[in-house]
Amino acid sequence: VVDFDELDDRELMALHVAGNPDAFGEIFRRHRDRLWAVALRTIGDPEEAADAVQDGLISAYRNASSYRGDAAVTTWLHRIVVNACLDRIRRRTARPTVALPEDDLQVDASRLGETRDAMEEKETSLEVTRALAQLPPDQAAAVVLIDIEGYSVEEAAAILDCPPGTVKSRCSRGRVKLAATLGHLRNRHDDDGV
Amino acid sequence: VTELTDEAAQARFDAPLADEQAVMAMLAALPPVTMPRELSDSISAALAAESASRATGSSADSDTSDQPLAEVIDLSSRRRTWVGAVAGIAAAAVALAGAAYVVRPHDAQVVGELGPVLASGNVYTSGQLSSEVPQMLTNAGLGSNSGTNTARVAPADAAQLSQTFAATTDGIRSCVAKLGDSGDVTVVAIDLAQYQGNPAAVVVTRATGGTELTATVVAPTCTSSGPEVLARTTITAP
Repeated sequence: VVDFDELDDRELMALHVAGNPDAFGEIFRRHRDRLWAVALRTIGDPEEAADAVQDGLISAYRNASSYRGDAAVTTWLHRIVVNACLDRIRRRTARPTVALPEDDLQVDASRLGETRDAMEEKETSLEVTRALAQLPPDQAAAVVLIDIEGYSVEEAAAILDCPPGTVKSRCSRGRVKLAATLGHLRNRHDDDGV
Repeated sequence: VTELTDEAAQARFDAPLADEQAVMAMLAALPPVTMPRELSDSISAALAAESASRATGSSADSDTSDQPLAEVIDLSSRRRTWVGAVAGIAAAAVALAGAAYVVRPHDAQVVGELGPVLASGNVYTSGQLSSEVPQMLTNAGLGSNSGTNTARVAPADAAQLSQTFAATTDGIRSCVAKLGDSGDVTVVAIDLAQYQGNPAAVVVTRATGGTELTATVVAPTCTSSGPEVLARTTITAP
């Protein structure tokens, strides 16, 4: 019996390629929340995000032998899922203007309690998510990876398969647009001492 | 908003203006999200079906379509469940996110008395499970409108049970625990039959508190170490 806790992602990938039936499931369990967060924030619609994540993971499962180990497994997985998201966004004619019913964001209640009134934070979160959904997909993906998920420019460039300078310009353009869209929230944020 | 040139945009990334810094702060302060458990379970089932396809040599790797080869839980039919039930899921999902990683697929706990082990003689087919299984349950007298005189499905006999996981209650519990369900499930019925012309067992389960049933097609030798899920779908209880 293989103890997966003792294995890193690359070793799990090797096991999966060798035919282990459970290794990829363990990789999925390790990275599912971050993959979901990136997909949900990038695509803006929970149903499409769910489809994109599932499509991406099935594709990754089937094409694991193409993983060369030149990037971290999580980077490789994110690249596949983000591409699935961007493909879905490009296929539709317009992105939703009201993307998420409020319950679709699973809010960590304990964290809410630390900072401000829960309802206000939820409202802010929804407005930011809606604004993200209005960005061009490439810019949304860059902003999500850099400013929300905290990836470095180099990591985001690997995920988005583009030069670091392109990540910077996409992210910067997205920030400028978000600043214009969300300016009314800034006062609220400033009032709270952020 | 005037679009920045590439050069200006890259420079602005390294030296964002105050408004952009405020946006960055808002983005960084967004509450974390965790994958809804229903979605996680659906993807786990899809991956299990892929694994089963690979194990049975149907070569998922050679398939170039975007669709899983095996029948898996239909996300579209479950979305409404998890989208609408997020409040209830949130606590569990948050707890899950903070827990140690599960080394093996979820172990479902089988509760209650085990349902009957049947031998319908059916040859189930891919894509038709959602109609074939409810019909079998109705014929077996397990539907809500089956009445008492419609039990036209015979229970499996000793010969049919032998060499299958369903020969013992421990075998059933061991198999069902590894089918990708999480939480408590009730075994509604097991049908020793055929799938796509090959011997197989259809395991029908219901999650505690759930209304839908799950039909999972497994190899007759289903064990905890090798569930060999051939197909899986949710069905409406007849």
